[in-house]
Amino acid sequence: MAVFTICLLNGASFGCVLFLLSSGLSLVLGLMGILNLAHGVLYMLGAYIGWTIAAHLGYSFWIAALTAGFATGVMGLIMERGFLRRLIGLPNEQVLLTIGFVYIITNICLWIWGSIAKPPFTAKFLTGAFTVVGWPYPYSRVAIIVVGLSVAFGLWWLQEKTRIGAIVRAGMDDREMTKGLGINLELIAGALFFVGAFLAGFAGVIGAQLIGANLGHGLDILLLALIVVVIGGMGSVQGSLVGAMMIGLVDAFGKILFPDFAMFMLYFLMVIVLVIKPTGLLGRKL
Amino acid sequence: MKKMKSLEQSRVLCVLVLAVLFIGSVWTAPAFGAEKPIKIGVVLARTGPFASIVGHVLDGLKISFEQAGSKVAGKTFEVIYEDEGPGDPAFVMDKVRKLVESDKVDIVVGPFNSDLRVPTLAYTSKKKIPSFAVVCDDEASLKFPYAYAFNQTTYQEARPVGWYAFDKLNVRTVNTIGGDWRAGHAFIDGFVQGFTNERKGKVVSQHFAPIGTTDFSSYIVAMKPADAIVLMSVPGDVAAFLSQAHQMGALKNTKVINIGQSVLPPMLKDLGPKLIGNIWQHAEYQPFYKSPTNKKFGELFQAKYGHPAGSLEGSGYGVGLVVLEALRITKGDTNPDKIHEAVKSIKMDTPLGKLTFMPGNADKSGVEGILSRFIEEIKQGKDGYYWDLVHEYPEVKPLRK
Repeated sequence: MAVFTICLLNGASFGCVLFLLSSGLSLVLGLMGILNLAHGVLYMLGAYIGWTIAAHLGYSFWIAALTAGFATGVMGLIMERGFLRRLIGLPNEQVLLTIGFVYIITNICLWIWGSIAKPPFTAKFLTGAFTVVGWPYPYSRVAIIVVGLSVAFGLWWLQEKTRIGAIVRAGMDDREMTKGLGINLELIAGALFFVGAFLAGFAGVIGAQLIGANLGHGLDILLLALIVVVIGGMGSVQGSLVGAMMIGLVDAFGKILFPDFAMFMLYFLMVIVLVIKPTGLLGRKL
Repeated sequence: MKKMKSLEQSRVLCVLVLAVLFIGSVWTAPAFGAEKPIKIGVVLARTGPFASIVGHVLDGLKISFEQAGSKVAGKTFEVIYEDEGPGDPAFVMDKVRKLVESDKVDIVVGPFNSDLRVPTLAYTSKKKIPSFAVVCDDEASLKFPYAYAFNQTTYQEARPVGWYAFDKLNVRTVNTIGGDWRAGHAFIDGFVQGFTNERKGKVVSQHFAPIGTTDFSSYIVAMKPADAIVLMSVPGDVAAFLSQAHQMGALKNTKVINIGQSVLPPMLKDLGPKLIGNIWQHAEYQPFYKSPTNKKFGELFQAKYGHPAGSLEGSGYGVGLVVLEALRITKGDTNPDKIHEAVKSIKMDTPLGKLTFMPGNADKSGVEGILSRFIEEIKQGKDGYYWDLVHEYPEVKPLRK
């Protein structure tokens, strides 16, 4: 029972990190049709910026998270305005370009922060632990769950209950018709790309409480985020949340129940979802 | 008559051409021979998950070559560096082939990753190119002719850590968690050999996590109550594991024994406060080991890089010394059989301690070093946290059935 409860919490906390990362990826893919493979390195960049501000310079963890999110948001905006908006409907070119960004940003991080991984860090008041079924459980993991679910609620509200959200949904359903109604979809798309990149950097700092900052994260975490988008479906906040939670839980329980097949389980889950519902569990219709 | 004259002229011309060719070859061959440098190909990771470790190894290796001033036994040597890449065997094979077939190297050093090194040895041994491991090698490497593991193998190197845990730390039960790749398994197997077969310790649970594992919490929860956790992975994963285990209170009343030298000195600023008094790791090289050779290396390293050498830098320096010493013994002859005999006869003092070699089989299969193994512990000094030497096992012989 103790192991089950701890695994449940661990899966939920890791799932929330994956949600923060994959929600931006999913929304950008859904609205703009842009597959941004540099999303993982924006996460990594956010983690390094957060480490510098919170762990190295000693400023507030939350200031670090917001600053890192803003910095990666601006970086994402530059990528979108400067390059990606010219490649709408050209998936091959998008993949090649964003893979290029992966190498460039990874090397910039290597140049600035060096090759040694930065260990996990958190806010001072989150350093302790409380007891759950006889196990000390860190406050930082609970904070990740709270932040993840709060952001999920905020994004859901934004997408489902506001005019901007309605425009975003309309743009996803029929881009040309939305533009024909006089809506500046370019502006909305740019703003959405900023939000997606902001969330990636923000997730980097929130996730750094668990996994620190490491040059390998750019691709490692992107792989998981892509699985989440495939499972949850693109363009759906709820889908990203469900997909992320499923991956987090399968990862946590898989390592205990089927340690030799833990990674395989993630892909197996993805294959099953693709076979049953190719658009993802809660994805918008293609 | 005219025909005969023409024939005679042709003969004279042929003789002249042959004479020119002969004289030319006599004059130029020694000159070219004297200029032809010995070529050493180094294939080590500059990208991929091992790049952070290998950068330190390269720093030490470069010093050994620079110290020799590009001359060995009166002959010039040239070093050609290649990247072993992100872990793709095809990628590294292309690099090794390029070194052997295009650059015509006489000796190969590396690759670092044992998953990649073993396949390259199948090729280099067939081509009779001596290949030296930079750090501890894989057991499988020793089956190949012309493969040299001066720093022993991962399996052999971890055995003394098992002895130390049992004899000095009074550890009787352990959980182990290793990186799920060739060296990860071999290190853990070596520890288990030393701890359970050569002593009377007990392993209560064993786990292997893929490289790049982000969340270790499930492994931590699955561990059973024990005196120590034995850990082996790449630096990023080790940092994540230790921090997560610390957050979850799993390091309370539990010692940590790290194999693989992956808690690098720059990581101690962040990890030191959490782990001081609670973690030990083995080292191939230890900066506080007292010997004139080590003192000299320490000074050279400090002067060049502005910080003290660590274990990986010492290993890199060590392999450079071994390669050059073998060439000194052969007087610069790069014949692989002569290099093989030379390596077996090496007896030298290195910064890693006194080094001799245990000969392999008669078929020129791999040769392994006999040298000191060190155990180190985190201490806090006025300049921060550092790894201090706490025990030396001198002249450790590999266990061979």
